Amino acid sequence: MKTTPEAQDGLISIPDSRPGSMGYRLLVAFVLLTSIGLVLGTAIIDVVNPLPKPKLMGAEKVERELQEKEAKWSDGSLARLIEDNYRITSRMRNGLAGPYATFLFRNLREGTKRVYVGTDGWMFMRSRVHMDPEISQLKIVGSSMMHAAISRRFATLGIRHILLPLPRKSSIFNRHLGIGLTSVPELDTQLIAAMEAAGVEAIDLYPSWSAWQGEAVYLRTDSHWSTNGVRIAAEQLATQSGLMIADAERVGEVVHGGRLPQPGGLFRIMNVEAGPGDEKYYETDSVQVLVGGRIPQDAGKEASLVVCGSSFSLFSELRGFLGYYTGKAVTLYPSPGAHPMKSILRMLDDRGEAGLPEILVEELPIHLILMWPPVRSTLGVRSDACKLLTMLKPPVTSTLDISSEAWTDKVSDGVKLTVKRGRYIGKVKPGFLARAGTGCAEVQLDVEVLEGDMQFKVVAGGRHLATQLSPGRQVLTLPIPSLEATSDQVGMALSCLPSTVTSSVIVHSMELVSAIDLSGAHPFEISTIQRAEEHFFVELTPKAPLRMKRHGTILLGLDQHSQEMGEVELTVTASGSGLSQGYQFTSVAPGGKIVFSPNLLIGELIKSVRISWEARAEAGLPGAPAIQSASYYPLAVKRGE
Amino acid sequence: MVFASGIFLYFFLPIFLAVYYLTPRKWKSLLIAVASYIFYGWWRPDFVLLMWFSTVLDYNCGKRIVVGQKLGGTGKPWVALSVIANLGLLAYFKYFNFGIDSLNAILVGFNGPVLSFAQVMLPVGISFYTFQTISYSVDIYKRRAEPVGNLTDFMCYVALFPQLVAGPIVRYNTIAEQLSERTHTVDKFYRGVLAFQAGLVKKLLVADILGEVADAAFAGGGLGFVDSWIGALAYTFQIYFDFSGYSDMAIGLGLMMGFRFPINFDQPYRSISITDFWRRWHVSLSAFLRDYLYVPLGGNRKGGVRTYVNLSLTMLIGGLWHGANWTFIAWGAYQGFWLVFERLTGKKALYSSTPRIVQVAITFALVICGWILFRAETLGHAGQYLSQMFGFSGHDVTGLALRPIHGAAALAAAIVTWGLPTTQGLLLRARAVWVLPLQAAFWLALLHLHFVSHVPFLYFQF
Repeated sequence: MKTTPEAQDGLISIPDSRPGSMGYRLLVAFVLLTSIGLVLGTAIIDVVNPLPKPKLMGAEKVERELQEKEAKWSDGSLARLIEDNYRITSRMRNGLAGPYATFLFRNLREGTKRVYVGTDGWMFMRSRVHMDPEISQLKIVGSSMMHAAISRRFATLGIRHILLPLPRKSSIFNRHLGIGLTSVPELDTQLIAAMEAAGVEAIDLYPSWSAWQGEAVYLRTDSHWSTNGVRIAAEQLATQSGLMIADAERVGEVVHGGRLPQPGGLFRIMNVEAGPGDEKYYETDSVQVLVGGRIPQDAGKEASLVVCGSSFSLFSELRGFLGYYTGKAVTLYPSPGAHPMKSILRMLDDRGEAGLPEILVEELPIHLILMWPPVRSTLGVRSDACKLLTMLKPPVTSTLDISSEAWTDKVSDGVKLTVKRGRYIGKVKPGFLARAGTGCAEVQLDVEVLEGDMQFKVVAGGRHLATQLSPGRQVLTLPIPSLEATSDQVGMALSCLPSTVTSSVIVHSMELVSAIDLSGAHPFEISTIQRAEEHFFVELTPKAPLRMKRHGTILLGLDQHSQEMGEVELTVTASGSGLSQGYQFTSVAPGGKIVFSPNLLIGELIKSVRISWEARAEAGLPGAPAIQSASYYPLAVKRGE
Repeated sequence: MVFASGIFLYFFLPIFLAVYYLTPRKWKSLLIAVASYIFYGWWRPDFVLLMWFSTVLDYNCGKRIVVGQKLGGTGKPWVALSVIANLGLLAYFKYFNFGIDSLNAILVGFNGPVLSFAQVMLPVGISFYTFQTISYSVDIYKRRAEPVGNLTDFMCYVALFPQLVAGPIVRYNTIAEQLSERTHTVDKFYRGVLAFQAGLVKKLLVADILGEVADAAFAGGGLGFVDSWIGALAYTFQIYFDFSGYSDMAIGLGLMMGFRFPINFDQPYRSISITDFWRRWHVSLSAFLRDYLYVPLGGNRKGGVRTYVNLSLTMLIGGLWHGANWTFIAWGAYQGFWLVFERLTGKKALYSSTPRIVQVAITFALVICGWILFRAETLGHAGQYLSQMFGFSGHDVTGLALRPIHGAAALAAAIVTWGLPTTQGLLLRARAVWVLPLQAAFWLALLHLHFVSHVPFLYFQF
């Protein structure tokens, strides 16, 4: 083993420039021309003829637009956006990635950064394999609460809501992930338990799918179920929900259709063409139900059982098997690539109030649990869920349902607390009524983290807003994470990050604050309660001419003795243009505040604010909100950090 | 900005080089400085201000030192100011969080009050450019170099983007002349391209791929005897190919701009002892520590015991330079221990009497064990990992997800480490037999770059 002699001065040394032989000159010319040609060629092609930016939809579009809007040099976000844009639009990159991916896959069985290639032809989405560390109890509780709220509302409409969470492929087939790489199904089991605890009827597929020894329940080269998986899921659903009918009542027959080639979507995601040698991995046993020799047709609006979900429920076999095991007419409302919320909205839209089904099965792939935290990319999902809750109208006043195990209000200010992993401390002040779409109602936390990274979460109306806290004292003001009118309780929670075992913290104060400057108020005249057909209303008129300004906020204070109501509509009307802006509150608690900012009427003279609510038929008397005070405040919004 | 990214390779570099070669000689330093600020400020422009502060301070200190010396003084206050200010910057940005955390740990132990401060963010490359500016003041003070002629040249020296964020540490006296006088030839450019290509190949096709194995191994969880050694080996190659890859790219870019930078790696895994290893690993750092710390401490001129103390202290500080964590201090102590041990035992060292190949193997094993301290998150983690390597884990199953690509990268790493000449050798010879395979590997690396998102260089964090 010879080493190279160091240059005398310690600097890299090269021979003196010399003409060199013809061969040497040719070598130099070859290296320089090919290298410069490659670099310049790529740059020119990518600049002159870039690929169009992919058309984004839904949550991705929202996230991208926000990224572009907020990108700036000072924190590097603009630089990252430029790099990302180049990566997306580079024609050279996108043209070469496919052949290179094929080369790596064919020769080294190597996947891509999105797809993990395991043993024996099994492929997995990497993000779903590695998602366990991202789980937090709050995410699971948040998701459960939202589903519980949806379930309750369906129940009042006479619809039985059954949740069908789908275990992840990597949980069921972790033995195929590759030597030693395991994906523990903690998330799968925790979610089922949390859903059940929250009162959601959830079907647990994990035991039956993981114990199944026959043909695989997931396709090897795709993220979807195999027909066997569909069959077992339908059977389990019918059994666990008590919908299973006797064999004699069944219509149709289960037919084994032999081997069926299903080259999966994961090949496509890898940008690899499935080759002749790959059939052994994607050919699966086909099982289906035939009625009169045919696949049962979609029951359309007549179906008493509907399945809403993502692309997993695309398969017509699910309809067949559910019909076979439950004896009910079934319709599928798939929503490929989207969250089941979209599918449910579509179903409600399609069927209208008159044609609501008897049973709604919501098929929820467990990885979509991560769509619940209020990160930008999930705003679309949350917005859909809120739309759904608004559409379904609350049957009763419901406040945020926080389990006593996860939450406590016994935290004294200024006391040092040690928080162990998985335990939460928090403080919930009941009776606060807030709306925060424009940041006019906020929470404030004055906290000193002594050790370990922590997370501070604000919860309102089933939404969470979280921020990470590093050691040190800090005062945070966060807007209440609500995009639409809500009168739910607002909660705050401090917790360890999943990666931190123990955190110590001193909470100096943890308050719900209204950032409205109470000076310079314009009071309103409050009318008596009046009746119009099935509604009661109170009219508020400004005592002096009032022009709406940016961030102008109207604050209504409710009497402590105010009766609780299910739903309140609030309409602000401008006098000149006649424009109006409306709000709908899902509940109103006594002694709370209604805070709103009619931003669409900026510059308009405000004529009146009408608060109306449905008359209670049984009592014949209005459940009065008893508005104690009503004022307009010109500004002073403390924006959240 | 990082070298192994599309934005740098396809836009920044070609535009810079085109403008550089069209710019008159007298403006070249200014151009380099401006380009370097863009390069450095691409992700965090505010940190450029910090570099300017250091640049202006040391430029003025250098001038004052010379004026002071001309007036019969020593210029000592100014060199002291430069050293204290630069080390102060480094201490604050790099060690403040660590200091507070350590102090709090002690205070908590005595039930004392806990101090809380906002976390300080570490500017990339601060360890490198502060050392360079210190070398400037000290070299002027020691009359090892003339002060730079103008601020533009000094800005160019401090900010020189090829080696700004991860070295090699270019001492002022080694590059002073080149700042004003350097040659630009096709041959130099060609060899610069070769060095850059070699670095890119090392980084993308070896370091990043083996890094997956190392990350999995060090992610926690029990590993068996074999797996823990595989993980340790993967990291051993990852850090070498990552860091030497960056150095090669820096050297190559320097050559394209007419500069000759210091050799930073000389086949370190062929070392026959730890002493030999430190002559070959991160040469620019070990030379800096030797000349600016070990020698001023007295070196080996003050007797045996003092020599060992100086050696240990130098390695401890060298360890701490790599990062604000007890693991780096332990790594420095570990290296210091072996240097002292080898010096104490001399020829009598157990492994010095063995055949050369055994010496290399023993040294390599010692180096691997050292990297465990370097890579682990905490000392406890390092202890746990080392116990696994020595069969005390109780695990005997294979736990690492190894794929064929890891085997291919490991094989390539072994061939390059023990079978091929160094980058210096490649540049000296530049024969078709090396150059043509390098071109193929470079094209593959470019393809791989298109395929993966960029992975930052390990040494950015130091």
